[in-house]
Amino acid sequence: MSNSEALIRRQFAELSETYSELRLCEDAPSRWAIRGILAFSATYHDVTITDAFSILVKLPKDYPNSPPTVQETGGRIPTGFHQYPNRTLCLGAPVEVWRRFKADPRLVTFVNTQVVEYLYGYAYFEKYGEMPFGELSHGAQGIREYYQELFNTEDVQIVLALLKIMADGAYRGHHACSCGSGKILRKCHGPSVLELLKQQPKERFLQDATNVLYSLKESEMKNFDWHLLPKALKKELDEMARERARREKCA
Amino acid sequence: MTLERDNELRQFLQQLAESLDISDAQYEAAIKHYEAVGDWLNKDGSPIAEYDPQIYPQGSFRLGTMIKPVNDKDEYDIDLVCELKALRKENVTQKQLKDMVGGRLKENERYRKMLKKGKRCWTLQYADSSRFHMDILPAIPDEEIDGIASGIGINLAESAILITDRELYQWQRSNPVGYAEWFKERMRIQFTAKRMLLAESLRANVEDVPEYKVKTPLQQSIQILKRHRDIMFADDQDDKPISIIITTLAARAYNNEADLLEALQNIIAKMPSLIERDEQGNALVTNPVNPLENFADKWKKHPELETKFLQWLQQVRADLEAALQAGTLSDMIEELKPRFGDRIVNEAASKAFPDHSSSAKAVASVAPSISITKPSKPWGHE
Repeated sequence: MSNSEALIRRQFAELSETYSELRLCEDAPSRWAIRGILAFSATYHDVTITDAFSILVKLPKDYPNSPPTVQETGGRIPTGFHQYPNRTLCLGAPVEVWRRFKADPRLVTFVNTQVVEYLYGYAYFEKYGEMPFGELSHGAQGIREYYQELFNTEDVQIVLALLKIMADGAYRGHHACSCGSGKILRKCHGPSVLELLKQQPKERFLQDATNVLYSLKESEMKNFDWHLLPKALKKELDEMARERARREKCA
Repeated sequence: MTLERDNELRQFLQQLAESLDISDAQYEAAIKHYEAVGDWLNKDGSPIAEYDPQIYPQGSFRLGTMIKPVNDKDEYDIDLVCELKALRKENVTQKQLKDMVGGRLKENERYRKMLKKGKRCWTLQYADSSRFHMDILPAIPDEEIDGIASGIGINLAESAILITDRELYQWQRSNPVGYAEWFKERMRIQFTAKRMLLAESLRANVEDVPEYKVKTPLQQSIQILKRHRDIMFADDQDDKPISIIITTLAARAYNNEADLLEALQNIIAKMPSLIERDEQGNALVTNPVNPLENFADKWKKHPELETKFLQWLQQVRADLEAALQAGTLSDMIEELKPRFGDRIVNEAASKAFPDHSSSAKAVASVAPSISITKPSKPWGHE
């Protein structure tokens, strides 16, 4: 038995102590999935919901380096409700899903928190027609909202400046924090930046920076500071510009 | 396997098929809607009336194998042909044909608001509670197909039509009526028997029982298979087995079994062996009314489609087996839920076993109690 199989089996045993209706399946060599009924009773702000959903939890090949993905297989959650096109549930902004999983990378924690919360949210929505914990906008705007909340700022330039540090892999604790507080990073936004940086590949932040850029409104584009572009993105844009210039010259 | 489970699964599948089917009211509403479209196309003053337009259903609506969508919010898609009977391909281009039909639909204020243009067809989006839309595919008769030479028979060849391709560039052969006749022939014994039984119970003449009210084990097996497929491939739309292959192979496999479970088991067992091979070893699922058309032509370029198709059949077989092996009725129902969807299984189980209370309540009482503190906000991909 490989190490990862042993780990998965151990984690599953722990999970099934709480959730007895789940089964562990090896769909293909080292492709692990968990199927079955997830029955729970959860309370948020004094509202208790008891419910059960059919779910499919797929473990990635490199589990537990990246978090599992989840699908609802009972046909209860409609396509329009917080899902990727492949019907995987959007438990939260990807960076947040990773952050929470990495904080305690065990199946039982993942299911107890992120999965149950999502299903609670849906069941609540089904019952009362609103989302109990609010929701992020879809697409790029939602990513922007996530970071604005995380960094506790409305200023999108600050979000981009911090994301640039992350995407460039250029964290220096003694540098001045990009938010303009006058404090050094370590004593300001540093800790939340570092937590994410430690867990996740920097490509994630390049992607999220791109998302935040997409979300910019025209008025925000006008006084946009181009120095806030992550290096990799700037390189790509320069390359595109050169390519275009070359082509125009030929034509 | 116990005799008890065997009988329970029979009752369950019967209810499942009925729950999957669209209701009589929906059938009737759809028929009313498309007949109204036909009237509008033929009405005095219609510029295309002279070409004798006829509108008729094709696909699963015509075959009686349509199923409810997995999600309540999804819509029924009813496929129609609008054949301009008096028009010939020498006298019209693909684009002209499409514009003629669309043009006439647009002359009606109500249809104009509902109309959407597709690559080949016109879509009428019905806003009312019926939640369906109709795809109207413009067509003309295909006079060149030779029923005897092609081996499909003169009768079936008569209904052959020409439709346009997606680029409005070439004519393509089709024969939805011929296909439906072939399909009906495959289940004729059961169809006639069921229709007679139904007529008796309704105290009506056999001819007065509308065909859509009759459901044979073949149609029901296809409905059950399609639902299983929809759930299994929910996150893998690209590899999802297509309905026409399932329908064709199932109809070929069907032996006019009167019992649904027997029919389903036989169909699943025989379908793989009915996939033929050409000289190069490529898979062939030929169109019974157009031997030149291979429904499985995509499998050549994407061999994984065939693998997935066979894996899926294997899974259906294993799932039925697991249901039959279940220790109790509750276990059987729980076994089936993830395969066909919670809600439809609950619905069918409560109809098949009214005295049996679902085990969901029992599960919930032992469920962990979780207190949510700092939840994530759900996000959505665009």
